[in-house]
Amino acid sequence: MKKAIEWVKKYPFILVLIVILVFFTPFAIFSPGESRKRAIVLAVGIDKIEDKYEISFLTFIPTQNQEFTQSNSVISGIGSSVSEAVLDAQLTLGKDIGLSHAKTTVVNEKMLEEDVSASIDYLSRIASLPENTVFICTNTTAKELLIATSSLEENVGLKLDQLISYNANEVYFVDTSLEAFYKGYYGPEKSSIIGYIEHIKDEQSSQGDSSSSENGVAEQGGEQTGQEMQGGSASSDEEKQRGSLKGQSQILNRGEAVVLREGKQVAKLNVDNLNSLNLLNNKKSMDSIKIENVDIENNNNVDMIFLVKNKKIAIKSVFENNIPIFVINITLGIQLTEINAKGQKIEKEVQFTDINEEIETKVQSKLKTQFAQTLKILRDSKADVIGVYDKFYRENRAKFIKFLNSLDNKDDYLNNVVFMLNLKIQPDG
Amino acid sequence: MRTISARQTGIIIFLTILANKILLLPSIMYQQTKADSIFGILVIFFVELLILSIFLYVKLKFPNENLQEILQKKIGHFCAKFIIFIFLIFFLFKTMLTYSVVYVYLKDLVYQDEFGFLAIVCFLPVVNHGVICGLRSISRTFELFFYLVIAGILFCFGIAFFTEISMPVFFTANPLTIFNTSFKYLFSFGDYLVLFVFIEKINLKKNDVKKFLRFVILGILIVSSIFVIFYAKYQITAFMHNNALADLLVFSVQFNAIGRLDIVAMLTIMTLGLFQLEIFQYAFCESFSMVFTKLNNKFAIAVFDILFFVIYFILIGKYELMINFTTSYLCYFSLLSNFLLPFIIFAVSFSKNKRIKNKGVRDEKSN
Repeated sequence: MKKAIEWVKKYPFILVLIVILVFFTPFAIFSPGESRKRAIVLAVGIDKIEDKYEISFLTFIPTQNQEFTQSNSVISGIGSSVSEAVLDAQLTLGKDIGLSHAKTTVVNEKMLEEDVSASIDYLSRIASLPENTVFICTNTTAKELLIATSSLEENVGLKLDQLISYNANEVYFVDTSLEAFYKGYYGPEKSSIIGYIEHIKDEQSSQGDSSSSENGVAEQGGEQTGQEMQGGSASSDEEKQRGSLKGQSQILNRGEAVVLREGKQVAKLNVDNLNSLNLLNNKKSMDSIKIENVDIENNNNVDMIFLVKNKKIAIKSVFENNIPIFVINITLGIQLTEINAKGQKIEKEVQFTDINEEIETKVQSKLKTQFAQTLKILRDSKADVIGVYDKFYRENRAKFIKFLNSLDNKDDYLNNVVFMLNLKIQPDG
Repeated sequence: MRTISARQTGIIIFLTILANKILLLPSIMYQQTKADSIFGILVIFFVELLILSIFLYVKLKFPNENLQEILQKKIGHFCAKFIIFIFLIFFLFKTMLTYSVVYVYLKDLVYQDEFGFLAIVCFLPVVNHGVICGLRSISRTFELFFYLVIAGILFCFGIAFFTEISMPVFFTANPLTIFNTSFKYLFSFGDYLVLFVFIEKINLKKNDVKKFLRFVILGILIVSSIFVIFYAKYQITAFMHNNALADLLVFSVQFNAIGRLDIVAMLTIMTLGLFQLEIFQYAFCESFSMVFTKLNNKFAIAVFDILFFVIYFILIGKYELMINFTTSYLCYFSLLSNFLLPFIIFAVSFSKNKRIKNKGVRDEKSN
């Protein structure tokens, strides 16, 4: 015993270790699992119902099973502020909310009529919410979209964040994360862009949703039957037809985006608009260009589809006679992917390696028209999501500040900047 | 006496250079001077190199004497103790600030709920143990972790380059604002003061200075890089992110499916934080032993723990108040501790040199 005491005296930190083990080991063994105390949130939805906020969480519930399936539920809470709504949701769930894995934040489109930053302020103060959380809006309530995605995941195995990531990588020309929203919101441009996912619901599910919304109860995603995912650019008739199917609601990902200025929606961009803006995006190169009525083998009614395989972009800002000019020089390497001769046979020039003058002119004309249309939308909404302000401020700061000061309305600078789009088309490879 | 080598001294300085600068500082400085904060910290780093040269001068001149002995001979017992007492206060609050910054990080990203008491219960025994084991043990242990920490930091840098970054916009703040902001956060600096406190325990020869300086340059480069990359990544929203190094690791949307790899930043920051706390507490205890010569090191540790607990939990109460306290009041104190005291030490050692010289001349004349 005496030896043992002397040994402990010699190494006192063994004693500390033993004390720590004695105190903490029982806690570690007998305390309940973290999943019992904390719900893992995968997506957050915020809706505003009159003066109250409803927050919905798409939560992952860890359950023991022998299949590789994930059980998700949508839990909602209502309160006069978002934080009160969160507390209400926690009360409903009986767990704390863990937002570390939340990849998507959804708001109702109607909320964008006012400055949306007030509604998502709560989220911006949560450090554990990842900065790469994608910020999107939907035409129905955010809760309904989350319920639909929950079911989608169970039935089809497709996750909302995968869908959004695809859009972020392949469709949008800018980052559409919550972080990017704030960058645009706090930046001098005051403009940002967020994704738009359309949700078409049938009356039956709509009624079910609204009743549950009032009660703020948890809903199991799997209980919603027959919901399915519809992608691509379906025509409106097709959509109506799909929408009218009894017991079905659909998520339509048409790659649309909403332009915000000072947190309010000022415009909506379709895929064509986004594709034209993608001309300025080095990372995005898989655009397709369709030109019509090309003259091949004396048949002038041929449609040709090209794929943009590579892109070289050089953007510079210059001033000429105190007029700011935004010069965009783009070299596109395109590859023919499809010919539609509308019933006629094309026999000789099947493999095109050269881009002739007619094709080049038509491609240029098409892209410039599309760009001009998109630019008009941005100019009308005074939303600089292209980064014009940033470019001029970095490269010609003094002249640009002088130019801004000369304007009656400094926010209207986009209408006073001249855009020059120079396109060079060449075959890929 | 157990001494530490030039390399181990360099490693300690590397730790102190990174202390309080890689998490909260880039964010709070951005609020005032935007990306120009980088110029502010570079100026302070440059000025502090003068302090480092003072240390090297004093060390090479008095290789075996401790700070008290150096000061006592020239300015007397009381003044020497007063100067060391200022060091003692500096290191007490420096430890509290370092703890606060690491605590903010852990609270934000790991624990989320207030866990102040638990954190202190976990941190203090480990830190105390390091201090009891001594400077050599601390530096040698960190030598083992050094390359892991470097790898962790480089990993954070590497991931940051996979996300959307662009050159920060410089020259938006005026020089006076940059100066005022740098002054406000001066307490986060004073990195070389630890060396004065255990000057006699450093085995540094003239030939070793280069080896030692490599770590200083590495530390400065890493802090500057964190500032630049953090501002390049977040730009206008830099003020919303309190944990610069950890926030560099946050992925872009393109990496959404990977999950969270911020465990790397977490381990790096916790390792750094723990060793930084050990170094600062050790410096406190050394100062304490020099001021209160009759009390031993263990007594110094106990006093530190009590002071830490009383000041941090009872008087200050919240980490926000601690950080505000350092920016509102301790910046003035930093002028004294970071700059004036090293210059006094330099003047003392320099004048002693003259005295010896004069004495030598008198001896020659008498002969």
